[in-house]
Amino acid sequence: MAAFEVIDHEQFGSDTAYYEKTSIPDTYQHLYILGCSRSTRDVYADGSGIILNGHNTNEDYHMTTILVYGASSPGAYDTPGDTQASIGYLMDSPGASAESNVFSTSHCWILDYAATDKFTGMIGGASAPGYSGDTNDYLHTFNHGHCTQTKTEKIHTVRIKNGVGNFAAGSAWTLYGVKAAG
Amino acid sequence: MASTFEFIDDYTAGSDVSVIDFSNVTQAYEHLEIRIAARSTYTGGVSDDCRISFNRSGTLGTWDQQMAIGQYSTDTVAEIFSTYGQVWMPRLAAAGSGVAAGQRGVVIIHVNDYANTSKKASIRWYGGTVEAAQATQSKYISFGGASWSETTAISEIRIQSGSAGLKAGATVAIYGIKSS
Repeated sequence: MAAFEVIDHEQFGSDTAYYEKTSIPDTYQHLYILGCSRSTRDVYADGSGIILNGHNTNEDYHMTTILVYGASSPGAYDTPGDTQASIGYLMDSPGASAESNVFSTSHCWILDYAATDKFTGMIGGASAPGYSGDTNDYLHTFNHGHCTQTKTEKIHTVRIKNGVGNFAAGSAWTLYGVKAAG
Repeated sequence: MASTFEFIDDYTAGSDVSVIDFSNVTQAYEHLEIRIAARSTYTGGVSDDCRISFNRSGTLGTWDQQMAIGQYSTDTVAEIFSTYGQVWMPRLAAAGSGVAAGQRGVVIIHVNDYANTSKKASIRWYGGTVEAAQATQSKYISFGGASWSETTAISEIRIQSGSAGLKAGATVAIYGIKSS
């Protein structure tokens, strides 16, 4: 019996401001997101943030992320409890300055999303390449992090947007529902 | 509703093998997940790289990769450029002196939008080997990602170790993840 089911999938035919799915059913145990994205921001990378149920004011999200880029220290660091965050950054997209045709590989778990007695926890990350054929370019970022949304609401809407740019044409996002029982 | 996370193929080595190859990988899914549990035949150390490559009957291409590594009590990062058409991933258990016979390394890999010929393949992985009796390279985990120079749809997958072959019992399984 299927444990993973597709709730929504969208691949953008043109540059698009954000991915959003509303009216998410509450019949699953967890949500899982897989993305393959790129930003129109005119640099090498752009953070792909997540907003749940439209909440986007400071202190709505707390996160700790390991971000790796380059060949040596301080390539890895974590950002301890950011109490100023209005969006959850777990994923990334290569920007318009990156090599053509490179897209990120992103994922994000939203655990126990229908519960109303706990803050919503997310864990995920991304590999966002800059170039496929260069070395020590410091343009390939990899991150892995945890984010908590400080609300006890059932999650019905997920929006993913880049920090600065739009999602470039070809970017694709898939939202899955994951069951805990048959 | 139909299943969206489906088994595609697997292989378990009945004896020591040099590589594990999959060909004619179906293009019917949106994403691939590859799961590896294996031990290298390398006798010169306690662990050995696990490597992946695509479409070896065509252009091997180059890979740019970025990873974070936890090794015993230290942590490091690495940026690697490969002209060999292979990606260096977490280390597998090896056959060096002192490594328990049952020890295996594990790796889980995602290849998103793998059949899209407008995108250069991008992968993300995590895994490693943690062997109780040893230190240093037998306690090694990493997570990272890599970008391939080619836009070719992925139809062939090779899994191998960095310095030798794969011991009998090595298993590789491939799953497909649908988007509709």
